[in-house]
Amino acid sequence: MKLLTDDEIFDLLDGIAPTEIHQRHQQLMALDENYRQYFNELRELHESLAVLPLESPSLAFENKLLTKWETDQSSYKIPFLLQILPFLFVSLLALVLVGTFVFWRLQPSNNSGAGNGFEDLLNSIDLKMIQRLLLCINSLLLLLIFERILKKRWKRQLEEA
Amino acid sequence: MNENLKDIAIIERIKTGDKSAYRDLVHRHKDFAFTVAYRILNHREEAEEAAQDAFMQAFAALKDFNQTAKFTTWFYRIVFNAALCAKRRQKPTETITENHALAYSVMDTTQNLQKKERFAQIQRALAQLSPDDVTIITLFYLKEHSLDEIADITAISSETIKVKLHRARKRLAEVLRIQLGAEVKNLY
Repeated sequence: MKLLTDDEIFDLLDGIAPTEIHQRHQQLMALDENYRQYFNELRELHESLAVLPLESPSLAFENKLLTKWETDQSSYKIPFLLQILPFLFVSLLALVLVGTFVFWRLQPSNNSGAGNGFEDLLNSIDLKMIQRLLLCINSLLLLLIFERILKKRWKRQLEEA
Repeated sequence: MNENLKDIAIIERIKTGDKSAYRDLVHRHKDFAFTVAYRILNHREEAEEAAQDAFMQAFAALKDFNQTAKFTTWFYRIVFNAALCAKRRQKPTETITENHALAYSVMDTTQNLQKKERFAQIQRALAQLSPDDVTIITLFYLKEHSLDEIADITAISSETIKVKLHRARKRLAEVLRIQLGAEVKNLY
């Protein structure tokens, strides 16, 4: 009698084999010792796999994951500020440069030429005010960088805990 | 209530801003996510990390989740991919041979011990299969997924899944036979 293939045996075990295979299987079980042994081996494996228990992660898994998720969520707004700050800085710089250039070009070139117009412009700028403004922007940048570094360390510590 | 409807109800709560719903979702699926990752990676810490990554990705993408689809199919695809990524990051030289130690107890009967030993043998044999094969076997047996669902999760056609499932089980039986042979040899 023709033996069943592995695929046919697995179909039998999964309960999707046609009647013809069931009949051949019954006959082989009754007549062929080797087949019976092989089928029982696969059946045992099939049954063991079906009752193989689920693994469980560590007890801290849930809390660790949820803390990580909350930290990730709360730190979303800061990178946005950090992202636009350089653009803001470069845009302001560009604006000042363009403004200076336009102002210089528009100066009347009556007797002392264009160079004097530029000097007048430089003299009219309140350098102390610019220094204060730059100091504020730099402090803000520094604070944001510090905050980012500290948050990263805090996050790492949370993950390690 | 149907299991998928329970998941959808939890997702609805998350969308309305109920933070405790995240915990409910994790509680429902953490064991299965961890088991799939663990069977692929054979390393508890790495499996926990992969399962965590999968949950984080799923949380971030929950707003895009199509609620007419089955949540577990969608989520297990994320878990499978996260575990595969972690597997790729594993150095080939650092072969993971985690000992699947049995948690014996004084109360264990002989039958229980035999069962535990059998599970440990199967775990060791599963560790020798490819990630695809392990996932197919895990999905097929643990949650009784249909071949079509497994095909959706692993992005492999259902015909190929059927062939792979048969081959994986055959290979598993062979590995077990070799293992048992070695154990019998060691006894003498």
